[in-house]
Amino acid sequence: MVTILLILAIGLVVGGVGAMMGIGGGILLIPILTAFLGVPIKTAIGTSIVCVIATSCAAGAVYVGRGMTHNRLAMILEVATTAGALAGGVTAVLISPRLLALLFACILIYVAFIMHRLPKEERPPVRTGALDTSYIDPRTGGRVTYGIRRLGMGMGASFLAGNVSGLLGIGGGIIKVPIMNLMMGVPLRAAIATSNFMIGITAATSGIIYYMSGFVSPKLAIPTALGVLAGAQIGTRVGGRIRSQRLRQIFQLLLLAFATMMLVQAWMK
Amino acid sequence: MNEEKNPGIPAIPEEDLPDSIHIRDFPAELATAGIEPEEEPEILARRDLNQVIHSMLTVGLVTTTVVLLLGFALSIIYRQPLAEKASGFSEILPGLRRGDPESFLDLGLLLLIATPILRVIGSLIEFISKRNWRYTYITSLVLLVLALSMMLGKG
Repeated sequence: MVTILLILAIGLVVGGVGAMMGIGGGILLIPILTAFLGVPIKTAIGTSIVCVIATSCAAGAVYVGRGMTHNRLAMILEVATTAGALAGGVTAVLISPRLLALLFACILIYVAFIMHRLPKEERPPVRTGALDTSYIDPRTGGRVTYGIRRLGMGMGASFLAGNVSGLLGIGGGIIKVPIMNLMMGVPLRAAIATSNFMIGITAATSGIIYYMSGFVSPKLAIPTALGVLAGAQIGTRVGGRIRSQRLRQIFQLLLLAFATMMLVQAWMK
Repeated sequence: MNEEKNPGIPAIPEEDLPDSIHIRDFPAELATAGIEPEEEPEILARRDLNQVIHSMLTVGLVTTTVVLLLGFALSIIYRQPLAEKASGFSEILPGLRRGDPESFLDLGLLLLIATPILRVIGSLIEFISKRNWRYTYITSLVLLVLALSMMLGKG
C-alpha cells in the first residue's frame, strides 16, 4: 500500500511536469523506478510508456480544448518522427548507444545554450502562409497568430529526433519542443501542446508491443497512470499561468538535467 | 509548402500568395472566440477537427479513468493485490464477466494505450469527411508507419 501511494505521488509529479513542458516524463520516471525501486529496466520502460500516454491524453484534452495544439503540424512531423524511430532499429547496429548518449547530451546542452542567448521576450510570431494558425494565450487572453517556417528542415530534424529516441528508448519531447520553437517559429506554448500530442502517438505504438510482451505491470502502471491523469490536469493549468519567459527557463533547466543524466548513463555503460 | 518567408513580414493577404502554397489545405486550429468573418469556412473546418479530437480524448479519458478506478476499488474490496503481469487479450472478457478486478485494470490500461491511436483515426475520418485529401494522405501515412513498427516490434 505504501509503495502504491509512493508511485501515485511520483506519477502526480511526473505527469504535472510532463504536461506543463510537453514531454512524456519517461526520462524522469525510468531512473526513479530502476534506481530507487529496483524495477527491471523493461518493466520500467513499460510503465513509463503508460505514463507518457496518460500525460499526452490528459494534457491533450485541455490543450486541444483551448485550440493550442497544431494538429496538422503534429501529423506532418509525426510522419518524420515515426519513420525516424523505425529507422532507429536499423541504425542501432551501426552506432554504439554510449556514443549516441554522449552526442545527445551535447545537443541538449547546445540547445539550452541557444535558448539562453535568445532575447528575453519571444519574437512576436508572424504568419508565413504555411500552416498558419492561431490560439488564445491563456495568460494574456490575446489571440496569437503564427505560421510555420523551415518545414523541410523541421521534418529532417524530427526524423533525426525520432531516430535518437528510438535508439535510446525515450519519447523525444525534450527535443521536439526546441525543434518547433527555435527552428520552425512555433510559439513555446503551442510547441509544448503539439509535442504533447505527438509523444502520445509514438508511445501508444510501443505501448501495445510492451503490453503484449508482458512488460506492462499493473502493479506499477495503474498507480502511475492514476497519478499522471491527476497531475497532468494540474500541470496544464499551472503552465497556462506561467509567463513564456519563465517557461523557457524551466525548459532550459530540464535540458541540462537530462544532459547530465545522459552523460551519467554513457559513463556507466 | 516549406517555403521560407521573411519573418518581418506581417499578415499576408491570402489572395496575394502563389497558388503552390495551397492555403486552403492549411487552415489553422482556432478556439471558439474571435473569429474573423472572411476566414469563416476554414475556421469552421478547424473547429470541427478540434471538436472531434477533443470529444474523442474526453470520452477516452473518462472511460479509462472510470474503468481503472472501478478495478482499483474492486481489488481493494476483494483484498487482491495488484498483479505483477498484465493478462492476455483473451483472458480479459471472461474475467470481466466474473467481475475479476484484474481484468478491469487490464482493460483500463488497454483503453488508455488505445486512446492516442483513436485520436489519429478520428482525425483521419474527419479529414476524409472534409475531403481534405492532402491530410488524409499524411494521416494514413502515420497510421501505416505505426502499423509497420507494431508488426516489426512483435517479431
